[in-house]
Amino acid sequence: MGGVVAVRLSHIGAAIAALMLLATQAEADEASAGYIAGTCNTCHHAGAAGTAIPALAGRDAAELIAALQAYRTGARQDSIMHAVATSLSDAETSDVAAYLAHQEPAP
Amino acid sequence: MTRWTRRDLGKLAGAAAFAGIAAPAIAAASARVVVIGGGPAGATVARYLAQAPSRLQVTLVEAESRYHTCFFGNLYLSGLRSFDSLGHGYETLQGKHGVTIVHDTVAAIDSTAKQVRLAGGGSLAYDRLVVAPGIAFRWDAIEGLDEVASEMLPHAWRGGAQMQLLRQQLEAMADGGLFLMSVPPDPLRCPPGPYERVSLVACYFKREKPKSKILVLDSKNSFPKQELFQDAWNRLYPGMVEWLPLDFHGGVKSVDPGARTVTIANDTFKCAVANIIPPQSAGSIALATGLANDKGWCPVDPATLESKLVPGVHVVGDAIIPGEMPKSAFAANSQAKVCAMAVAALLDGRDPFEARFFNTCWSFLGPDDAVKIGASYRIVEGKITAVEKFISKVGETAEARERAARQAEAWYAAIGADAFG
Repeated sequence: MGGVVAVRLSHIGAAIAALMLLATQAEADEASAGYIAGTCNTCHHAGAAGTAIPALAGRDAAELIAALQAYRTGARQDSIMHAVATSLSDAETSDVAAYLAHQEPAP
Repeated sequence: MTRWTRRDLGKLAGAAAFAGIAAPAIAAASARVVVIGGGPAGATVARYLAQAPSRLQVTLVEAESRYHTCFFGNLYLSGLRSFDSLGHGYETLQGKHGVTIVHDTVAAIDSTAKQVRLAGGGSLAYDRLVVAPGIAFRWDAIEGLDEVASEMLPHAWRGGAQMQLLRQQLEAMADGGLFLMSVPPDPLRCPPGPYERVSLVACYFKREKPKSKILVLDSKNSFPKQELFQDAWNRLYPGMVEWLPLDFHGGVKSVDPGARTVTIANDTFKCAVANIIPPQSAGSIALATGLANDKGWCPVDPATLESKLVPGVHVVGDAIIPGEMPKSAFAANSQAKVCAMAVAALLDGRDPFEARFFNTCWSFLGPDDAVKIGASYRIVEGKITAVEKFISKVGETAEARERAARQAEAWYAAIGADAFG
């Protein structure tokens, strides 16, 4: 009897642990992406970006990823964006793009 | 490619709360952070702390109700930008981001009791303290130069009244006068700034007072973007600018504010305008509270920007020893974001993310002609180290230079919105 309860509890425990891990990992990814995207704000701040520097908030994530990849390889030429793009791993590039895509676009 | 969305996170967060792991966020709900100094570094820290998920109580202590940037001041000196366009208020930080603004100065920091005592009489308790001291001037370095003399011989190396003084003197001087600039030794705020100022004052003279001359007495023998600046002076302002390295003139020995003269070893110059930029140190609050070392600058752990001298106190901006980063507004803004991230993590009991920094310094050579230098940075062996560097090149097209000028202006608007809301 006790053995069965213990087994069931351990199942529940494992499920909760998995959930906790997921939640923590997802939150950590989002927090990390938000922190990295802070660097974008210095030039691309949604409230102020003009024609010379485009706003990024609310832009399509795939488009942002493609742009960062092109800056990294040099297919698109810009010395500042090359330094930004080469500082990001592939996973960070995707996370930052997803983060920016979910931001409210400037009015 | 998106690995998560906000909606998914909401579901997960709900599940997590059910499982009882939201406790750390609740525990941190009342954590208090005080930020001293409302320049670009302090304002950015306050703003990013206030929007951290752990809902910190953020208080910003700043004496002035409006901050005028030193950066972009050279455009104002040249008549290309209004004084008001350099001003930033704190209303949005308070109204929109929930930062409590206290207009006062700090009398003392008690890092044991974790309290900031205000000159106005009150005190503020903190769990972590961030200080953005900016710079102070060393008034003992040049004979005859002190704070009173700087009213006659303005440094204009801080925004606001000093910048206005220098502009008034430039406007009042007759055509054919001598504009003399004395450049301090490293480290200084905005290392390419003096040479941008030379370019933009030359731009003003060319337009309004074409017989005037510019003489630069440098305390260094070389300077950032030197090839780019000297190319521009020869190309755009031929015969107007003379730059003398330290080894040539031996250093400024004394100044006479009344006569507006500047003396080196074997010569004295009578100036129409003398822009004497004094040697610098971390701001006075850093010197008074033990945050600065014997050289006058603040050593910090670059991973968290926490002081190496006073635990629980973080220092950001021009006052720190920044490894390979220059002392710039962009660098201060970048350090501020690392600091805010680290402070929030430490208060939550989490490990901070890896610190990474970025900087770009644009310099105007003329109204439609700008160059840039910068880098991405990481911590290598305990020091902020440049990873990927870039710099403009001599001989770039006019279109590329104009694009950089417009980019710089867009950046000014963006960093202003980013720091001050």
